[in-house]
Amino acid sequence: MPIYSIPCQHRHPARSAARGQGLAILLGLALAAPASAADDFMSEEDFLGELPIVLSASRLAQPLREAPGAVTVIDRDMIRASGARSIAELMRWVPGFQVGQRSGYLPLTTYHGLSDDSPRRMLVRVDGRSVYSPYFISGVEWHKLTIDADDIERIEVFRGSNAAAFGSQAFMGVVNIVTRSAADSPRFSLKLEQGENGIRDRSASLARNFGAAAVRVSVGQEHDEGLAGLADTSTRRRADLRYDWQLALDHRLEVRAGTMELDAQLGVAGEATDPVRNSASHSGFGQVRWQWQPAPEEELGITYLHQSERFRDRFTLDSIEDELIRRAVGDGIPPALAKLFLSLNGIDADSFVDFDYGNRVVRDDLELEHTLLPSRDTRLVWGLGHRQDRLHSKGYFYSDGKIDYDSSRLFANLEWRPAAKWILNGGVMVESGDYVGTLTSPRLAANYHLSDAQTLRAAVSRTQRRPLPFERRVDLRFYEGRANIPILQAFQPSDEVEAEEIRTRELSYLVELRTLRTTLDARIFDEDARKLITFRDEDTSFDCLIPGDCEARKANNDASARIRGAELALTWRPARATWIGVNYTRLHVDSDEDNLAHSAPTHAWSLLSAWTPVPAWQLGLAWHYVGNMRWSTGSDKTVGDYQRIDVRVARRFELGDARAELALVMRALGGNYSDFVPTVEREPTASLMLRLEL
Amino acid sequence: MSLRLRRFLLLSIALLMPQAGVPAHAAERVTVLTSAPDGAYAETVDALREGLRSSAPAAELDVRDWAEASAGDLAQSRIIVTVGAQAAQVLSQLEVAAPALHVLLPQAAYDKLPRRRAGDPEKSAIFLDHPPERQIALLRLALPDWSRLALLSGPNSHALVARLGEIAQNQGLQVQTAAVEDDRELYPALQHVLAEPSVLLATPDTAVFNSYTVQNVLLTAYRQHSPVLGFSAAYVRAGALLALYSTPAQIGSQAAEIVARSLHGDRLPPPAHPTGFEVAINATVSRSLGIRLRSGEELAADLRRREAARP
Repeated sequence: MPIYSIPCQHRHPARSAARGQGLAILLGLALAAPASAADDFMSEEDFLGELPIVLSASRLAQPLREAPGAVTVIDRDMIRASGARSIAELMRWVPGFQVGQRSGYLPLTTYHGLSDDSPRRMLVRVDGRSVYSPYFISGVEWHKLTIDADDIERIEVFRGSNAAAFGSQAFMGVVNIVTRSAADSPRFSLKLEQGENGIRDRSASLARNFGAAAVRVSVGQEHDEGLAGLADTSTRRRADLRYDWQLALDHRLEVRAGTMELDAQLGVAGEATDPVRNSASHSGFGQVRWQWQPAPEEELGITYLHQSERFRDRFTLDSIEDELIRRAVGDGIPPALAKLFLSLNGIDADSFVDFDYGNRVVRDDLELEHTLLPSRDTRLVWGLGHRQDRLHSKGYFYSDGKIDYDSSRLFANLEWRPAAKWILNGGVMVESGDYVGTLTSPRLAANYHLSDAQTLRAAVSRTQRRPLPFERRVDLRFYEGRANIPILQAFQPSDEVEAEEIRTRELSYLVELRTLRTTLDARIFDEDARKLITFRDEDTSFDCLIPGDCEARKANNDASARIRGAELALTWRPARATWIGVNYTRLHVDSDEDNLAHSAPTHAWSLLSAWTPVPAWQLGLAWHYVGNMRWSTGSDKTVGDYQRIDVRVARRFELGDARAELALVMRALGGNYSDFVPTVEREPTASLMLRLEL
Repeated sequence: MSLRLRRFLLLSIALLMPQAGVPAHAAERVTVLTSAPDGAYAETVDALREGLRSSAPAAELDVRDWAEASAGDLAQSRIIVTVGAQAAQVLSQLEVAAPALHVLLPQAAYDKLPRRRAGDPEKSAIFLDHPPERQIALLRLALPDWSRLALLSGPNSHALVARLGEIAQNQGLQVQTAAVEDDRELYPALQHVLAEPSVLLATPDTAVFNSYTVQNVLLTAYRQHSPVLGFSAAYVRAGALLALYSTPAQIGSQAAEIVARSLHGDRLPPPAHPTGFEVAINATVSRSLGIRLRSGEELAADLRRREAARP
């Protein structure tokens, strides 16, 4: 294609430029203001001048038939029709995923089970930023997202290991959230939701284009009273900024920043060591990405991220003597003897213990990614990066110092079309870092197009996951506060814990019938997970107070699991706002570890549908069936099978210049159910939502 | 009109012209006024020169930058070719008697030039714009399964968009149109016309489609699974599925034919759209949207064949 060297000044009606400059100065952002006071006069430049590459390789979604694995895409219409208040809830409509609610503000998601109450074997990314928190217990912290569901363009869920592309945290799956471009956002939007259970959600966003730059700012607050029977009332406040600046035709700068604060209750009423209290967490980040696009198919990007997090959770247990007597009695010691024993060890009615589970974390990450077409039939993405996490938590690590958790990565993925019907994908990620040295995670996939509509895929991969600081270095101990008397150690470090490993094999069959607007995605898989990290009580060298308490939980690599099953997704979408999608998952987890063997339901169904009989009305219906399963927290914690039905009725109308939508959302219409532990129930709630867009 | 009458008229026109007695040596001089000396302008001039070498060997090309144009110098020319809108505008301010052919400019720029009055020298043009019929024909050819067309009309394109809509409807397409008078209206307009996946046809109206709005246009269309038909090769690089455009060389060759005929004594034809054109496609975007397309060369060849077969 010829490229004509017409010098292209950005030409645009003068009024936008002037307005743009004003607002840009207001925001304190540098802006390449169009120099010429252009008018509507047409010239040959409009036909012959260059344009920025908008749909670059990184912005285009890979077609399902060419992807090296199973991908579920949830688009903006589906997010809206689902009525979901949190992004994690949307995982219900991804085959193979399990979703639970640990508390009102702590959703749990895992893929193919193998999770306790702190899932850490899948990765969530927002515009390329890893939201995985490899710090303490849980890897996936959904509540720390700073975006609103309305800011999302689409969610691409890669079902299965994808460490070759995203690193070892993508051990069993990756959720990639792509936010909508600032240039493609409403100028102003407002969303209010009010409902039962104290639901009070407010969000607003503002978007402006200033010539070559576009900015969107969104803020929000969510409040509810949590789950029945738990003290988990929470308020979350967040703000998010996206700034896209086309520096030149082939250079783009993307700035993302966000901040989040969560004030939440935690603890259990009547539990001395876990009393009901307030906690506060804060997370903030800034990310700058510079992209150079010398050609539509070539792109070089450098991304720098800085993120900092804080969590505050401190309390004092005054009645330590009573609590210790209770524990000693539990070990078979008579109360009087226990009291005497304690007083001999310096514990009396005035003894207390300070608990501090707080932490501070700072993360810096630098990545270079290069996409190019070495030949007509090949496409290569390669890159390298370095991440540095600095953790501080005296409570968890029994150390005043910072704990470093660094890793470097080198990755490459090559897509090759040896013939019209074949696509081969090969990728590898090599990571080196703390604790376990170099990890190598390769993947190979072959897609064969049986016809225009049908694709067969076979894929194999191996992934290794580096242990987290918590798994390797946790040292959670308690001392009496007045005289510093050692009492007990709850978790002990484990220097020998190694990387986990999973080998996967899968076969898929994809049918895309465009004329019938129907897609069928069927997949069978065999996942062999070895050296899985679990915790068990082991003797500790800690000088514990009560002889019966001299064990502490310690990480080990002894567990393994073999997961076999099938996933089926069928979607019929006759129109953009009308569809029905049905998913079925069958899972069989084979493991010597009872908790792991029961960590996924044998059968799970889900349905997400929307019907727009006339443009002004939309009816959304979602249904979910999950067989019995257990978040590995104990054999008595198995939750029975349950169903959940959500209905959303929405009416769209014009309100002056604004497009408005009023929706009634009824969640869990089928009645109470438990999705985490049997004692915690989720109740039906209804809410009313109003959305305005200008 | 009989041959005798035509000869009489030509003679009368020649006699009426003030410079009827120009020296014989200037008889074949072709002055080319360019808006810039390089790039697409140079390519156009090269193709014009190449074309004239065979069809009018006696023609002597005098290529000048628009800034160097003066009525006195141009008086020596048999015909003046302007390349680019700037050169066309400059020439229109000068009192020159030679006929003028304006090339490498949009129809909108040509329409803004002073109207020809009685007694003015002849003028004509080859636009960069393609006829609406050709655009709709390409759309039917490339995307036969797509029955919905989305159009945005701006202050400079109401008539064109109306015409496109009319032709598309006659071809059985469903047409969604929205007016964009201000760039603030672009977002809701796009949401409206692309409520269901449609082919969005970009029209050369700077108020609607420019290098700033292209982000919004292409991103929204992509998200709504809607392909975009652009009017320049750059559109395809930026992310449009396909584009219909003419290269400067094609315009230059077409200009050479007209100039040669004029030198042979023919009148200038009325302003016209380019006869030569190319179709570019973006294979990555087509794959990502799951749209199967024939190659750009095949589509262009097929379109040319169909146009040639039409009476």
